[in-house]
Amino acid sequence: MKPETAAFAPIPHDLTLPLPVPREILLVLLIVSFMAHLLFVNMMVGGSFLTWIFEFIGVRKKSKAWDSLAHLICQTITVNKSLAVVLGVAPLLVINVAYTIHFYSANALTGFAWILIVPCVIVAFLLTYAQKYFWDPLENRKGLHLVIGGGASLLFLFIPLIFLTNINLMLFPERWAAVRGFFSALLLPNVVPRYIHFLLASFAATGLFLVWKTRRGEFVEVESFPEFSRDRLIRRFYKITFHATLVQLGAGVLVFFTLPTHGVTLKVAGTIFTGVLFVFLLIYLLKKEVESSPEEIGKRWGKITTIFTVVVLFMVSGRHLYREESTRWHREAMAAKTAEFIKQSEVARVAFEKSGGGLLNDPMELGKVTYKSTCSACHQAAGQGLPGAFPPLAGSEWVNDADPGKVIRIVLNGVQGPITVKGTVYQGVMPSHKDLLDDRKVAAILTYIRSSWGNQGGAVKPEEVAKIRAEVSSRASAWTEAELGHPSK
Amino acid sequence: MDFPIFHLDGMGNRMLIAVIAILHVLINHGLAVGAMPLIAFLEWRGIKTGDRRWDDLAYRFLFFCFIITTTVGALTGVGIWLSASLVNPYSIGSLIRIFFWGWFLEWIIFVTEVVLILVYFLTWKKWIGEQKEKHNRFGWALGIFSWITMALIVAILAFMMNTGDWKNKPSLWVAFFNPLYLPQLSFRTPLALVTAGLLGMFLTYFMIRNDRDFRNQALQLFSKWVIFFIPPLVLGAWWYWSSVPRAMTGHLATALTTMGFTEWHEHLIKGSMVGILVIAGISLLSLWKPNRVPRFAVLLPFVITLVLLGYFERIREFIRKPYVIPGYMYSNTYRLEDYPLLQKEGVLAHSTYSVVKNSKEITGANQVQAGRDVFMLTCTRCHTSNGMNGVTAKFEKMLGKGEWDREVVANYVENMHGSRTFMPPFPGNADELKALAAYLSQLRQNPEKSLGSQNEGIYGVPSKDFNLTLNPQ
Repeated sequence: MKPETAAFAPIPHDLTLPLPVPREILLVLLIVSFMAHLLFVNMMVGGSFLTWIFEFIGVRKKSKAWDSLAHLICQTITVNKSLAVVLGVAPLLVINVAYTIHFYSANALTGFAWILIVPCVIVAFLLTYAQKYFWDPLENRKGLHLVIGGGASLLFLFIPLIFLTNINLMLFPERWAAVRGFFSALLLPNVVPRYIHFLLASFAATGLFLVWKTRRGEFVEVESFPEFSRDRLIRRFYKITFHATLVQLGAGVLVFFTLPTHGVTLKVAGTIFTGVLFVFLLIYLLKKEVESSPEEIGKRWGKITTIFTVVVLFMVSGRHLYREESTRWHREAMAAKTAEFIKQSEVARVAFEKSGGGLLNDPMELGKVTYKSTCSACHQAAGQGLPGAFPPLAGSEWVNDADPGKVIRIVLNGVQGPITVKGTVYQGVMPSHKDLLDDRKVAAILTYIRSSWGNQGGAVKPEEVAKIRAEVSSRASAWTEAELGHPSK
Repeated sequence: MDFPIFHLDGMGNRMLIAVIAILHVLINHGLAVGAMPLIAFLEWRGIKTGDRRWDDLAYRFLFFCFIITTTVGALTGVGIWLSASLVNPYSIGSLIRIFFWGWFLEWIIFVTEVVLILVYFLTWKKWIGEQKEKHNRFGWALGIFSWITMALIVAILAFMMNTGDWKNKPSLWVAFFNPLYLPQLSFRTPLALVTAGLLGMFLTYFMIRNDRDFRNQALQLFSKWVIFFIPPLVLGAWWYWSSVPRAMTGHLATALTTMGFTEWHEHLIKGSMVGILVIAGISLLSLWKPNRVPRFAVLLPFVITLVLLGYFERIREFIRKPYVIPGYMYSNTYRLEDYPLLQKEGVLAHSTYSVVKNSKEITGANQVQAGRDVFMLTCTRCHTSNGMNGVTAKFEKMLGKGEWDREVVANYVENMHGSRTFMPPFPGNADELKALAAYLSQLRQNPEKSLGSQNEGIYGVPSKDFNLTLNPQ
């Protein structure tokens, strides 16, 4: 299906501010910072699962060795998670700028799930700390300890799904109209395969990470257990990466063929399949490593990790190109609409400035205009007020007072009810307009209301306002009727 | 705002951001900016006196701060982004574009801070003996970086509220000359240090369980720390408090005149005085009679600090009104420069997500629906229908519980910004104003909940296409 022909494909207009840096730079920043973030997320998620699995094996086998290994891996999760969070801010910032409309729209459509990320991650992290620091205190209550770790792992299982759903949803504006919250967005094609892809990658990356840790001698504590001599440990971790990568081959095919086809161009396919060639090389090297002798094992770590990084780079780039291609039609349509909007806005603005630019010199005209914008919301268009809420100005003894001093004071500082107007008591509060209106405007408004709607109060001069303004300059609060004195007719 | 509209009609959208942000500020100030120098000081004291107990205390204190800052602290920080961009994508999107490098710099300092706290905490038990002094220097460095993070954020916040001059002078340096910048910083810094001291007093009961003699010593030390920073706190608070109105009259000319603000401003000074007196009282009591202080008494000033902080942040946000980006965008997310177009052609004509697409389509039959669309587009970033800051309650206060005259409602909406200067002018055209008034006045009799895109999906899907499937072939 061509996305343009979808039953309802919203084409909103984009922000009108220019990008702060050329888009290409943003996209490079996005890929680089996202890869760094993803690496730590993978190791965090993989570490959490492996910790739980190994601890569980330890309980089942009543093996101190497995328990100690699990404990060591557990120590790494909290460091990785801190780096995952802090490194995640940059890609978040960049994707906000590079794909503003798409990203934000997807967030809004899955709003509840999206904001749930915050409490979910907090709880997951607290559970991870509990898992780490209660390892020894809960030594004899393994069931409870496994529940804590399991809770963290389950949350780590759920949270990436929210992110994946959103960055998938953002690619397909032609389907936004059918989405009703997170769970329906989950049903879009490609979400589940991609999620499996991500989980496998987490195991693969964590395997390599743990080989690195072992080779650095950081697991020396468990190496005294015969089943965890250094070479066996390394082999075990390599096998995790090896098997995860093998399964990944199948999962990768699934991911690729569930992609909506309109974004799959030759460039996208070419990038991904070049990556696949490196996967074969990776599998070959891993197999050799797993089969090598205890003395030799671990020596190809650098090479393997390099190839692994190359694979990730190709896959992330392929994914990125797909993102660009699949949203291209929409971004172009949006850009056209935005340009059109900017033009229309400009035309309207110029016309407005031409028509409304005339200075209001006549006090009655100025008073009328300023009255409408400043006073009429409460006192109404014809000064009739609103029964029970706002006192009338038409026929008011305050407005018609021969001395305008009281109304000038009221306009400048406001007035606090109760106040009696035309025999009715009003309880409201009128705000101060001291800083809002200059002398000329206060005079114009008062001139207007004192000569309209049957009122006979007469004109007020700006000098009169200035004089009273100077007198009350230090006053901050509103007047009361007692202070002003009710005008006697 | 041309996005699917996320809307929380009960608690209100702003409350979501506020809860997350205040929690973050409290943790940032108390447990990072204030606590890191205090912990480095405790560690240093351990080195100087040779008394291991100070070192243990410092480590336990750091443990607490480490756990909280790297979980709740870090995630509420990200949460400010997530919630603000859910609620107000147009303004946050624009702000990121304007302040891109400012945020980027902030991020780099933030990364450094996180790496430093990881190093400081995880090497505590490893870098001992000769390396202890080096370790202590990391603590001080961490304190400095936490402070720089705050100083930079405050600058960005201050800059965002500046006169709207960012278009001409897009350098972040302008932020440091904002009239509110230094007052804010000199308020927040001692506040953070005092909060950390209070937290220390409270945690002492948990950190030192058996050694009563040392517990009293620690309580007294924390009290001295708090008392030492009270004078700068008073000065900073006073400076900030008295520069707020000036800053407001400086660029908004009006906000001072609003009753709400005057009230806050008064509450704030009274609240601050009471708060600081309570803090000083409890600290002095702990200093003289450490045995006599009930442990939960020290929570009281802590709660007061929290409330005060909330108040200050509220005012800071209020200063911006009626803008979200001064001189550029109103708090309803419409740009000032688009007003002539929108007030002529209407907001519906330029919005993708509305049921009624154009004010020309408004007939008697769909007037309320059009009004609902206009309400969602122009009011819901700050208001709900019946919940927090609800429009129904606002109008009830003015017009009573009876039926509301549509014309009165329309007249109010059209002109309210003249005297309620914190409100932006209504961006739509005359037909939309009527429709909005029709919707608002029927809300009284028909208190429906307005739902956002997270519940209902996007608006404005033509009804014949309503049965869209997710995966059409």
